[in-house]
Amino acid sequence: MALKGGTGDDRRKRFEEEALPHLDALYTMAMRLARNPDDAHDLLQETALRAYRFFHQFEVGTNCRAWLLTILFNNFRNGYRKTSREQPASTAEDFEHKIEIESMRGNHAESNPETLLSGRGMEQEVEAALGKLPEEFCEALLLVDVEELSYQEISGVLNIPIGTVKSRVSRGRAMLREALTEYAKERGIIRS
Amino acid sequence: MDCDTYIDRYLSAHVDGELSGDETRAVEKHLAGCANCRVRYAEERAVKAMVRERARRYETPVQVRGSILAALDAVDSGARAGDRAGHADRPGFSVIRRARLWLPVALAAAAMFAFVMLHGGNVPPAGAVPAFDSALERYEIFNAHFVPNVPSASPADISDAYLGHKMPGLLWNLQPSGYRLVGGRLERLDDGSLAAFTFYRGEEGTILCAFMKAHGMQMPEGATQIVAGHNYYKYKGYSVCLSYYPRGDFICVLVSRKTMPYFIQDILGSSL
Ligand SMILES: [Zn+2]
Repeated sequence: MALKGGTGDDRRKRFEEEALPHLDALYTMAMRLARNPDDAHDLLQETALRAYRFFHQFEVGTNCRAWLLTILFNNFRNGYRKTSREQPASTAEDFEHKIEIESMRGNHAESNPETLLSGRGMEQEVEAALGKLPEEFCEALLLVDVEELSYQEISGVLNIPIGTVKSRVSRGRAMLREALTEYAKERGIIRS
Repeated sequence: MDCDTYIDRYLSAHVDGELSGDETRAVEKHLAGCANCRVRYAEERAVKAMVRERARRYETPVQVRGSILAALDAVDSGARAGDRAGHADRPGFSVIRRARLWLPVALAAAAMFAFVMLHGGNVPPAGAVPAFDSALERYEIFNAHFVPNVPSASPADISDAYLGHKMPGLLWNLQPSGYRLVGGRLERLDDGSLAAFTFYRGEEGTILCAFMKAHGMQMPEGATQIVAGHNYYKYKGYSVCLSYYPRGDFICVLVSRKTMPYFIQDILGSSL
């Protein structure tokens, strides 16, 4: 294996400075995609190793987190997707149906009433709502809101046109808003 | 611009700061005259903020982080060995290249099977191998009584301790084969060099892994099987597995009392 982009020590140092600070972000995404710690570990490790081997291809000055997430998603699509895990809702209709059932069950953790706008104590609800989003909407939302990537960067990470990013974010957020509003109503935080 | 156009086409991009200058001016003009859309905009921002602040984030477990660093080490040392010897990509090292702190033995087992070479029935016995004798001697002592002398609460602790003494930080994961990691010991051998001993206990037996300085040691004759760079020997009534750490500076000797087929099965993982 020929080393490119400088000596090994130099590559290691740069990798530790530029890439490893994003490890938690990658692990978080790996946990969301793989849905269990063992597979997340495998996915993260494969991603880190591949990124390290191809670190010479990373363009200095671009968003390293976006570059790493691109590798993570590629790895995931190329073999870490598990078939046994619980399938999330695949259509908007499914999603609404699931939300409805969830609301009727009323099984959310108790927390102090707050307004939807301040959002305190909404962790459970946010997770529940995200978990029921169609996968591709959820991924787009997390990349823009949590990882703070631009639509352009997300287009690269997910390998989809920028217009598709835009519509997934838009529809995903609308569904999320609906679900959170539903939860908030149910808890008496806001009135319908 | 009317309300539907704003909400359907611009709202989320507006909140995400993804509108062009012209688009921004157009939506601001609409919002200035539309209280409903101003509320809608505030809600959209709240949803975005909620995802940003409330979506669960995970911290990388220490063990996972440690194993990734160990895997990077393996790439580094593989690259250095390759620079020197020019054959770092030979199949025997693939396991250690892919290694994590817990070597995922089962992972590569299927691929390894292709490399299994069964030697004929007339295998010459392995001659005296001092490194094996050192490992065997410890194996017997540890079977009777093993006391770790490095922090052994987790594989990462052991790995850190080894690395801290410039020993390989890779550990075998024998869990899929039913072995529990008992702990690690660093000891000086008769020649004064340091060796790292990791001891595993299963329901049907024990395995000792010894990392020792290679001192230019050649692969001894008489291996009963060679599986992807790991040489297996029947030696003085024990089953022994010998491999080189990619750096070339260390050997890894695994010892068990199990018979050869079962020992190999344990090492390769239960999937074989
Ligand atoms: Zn309006």
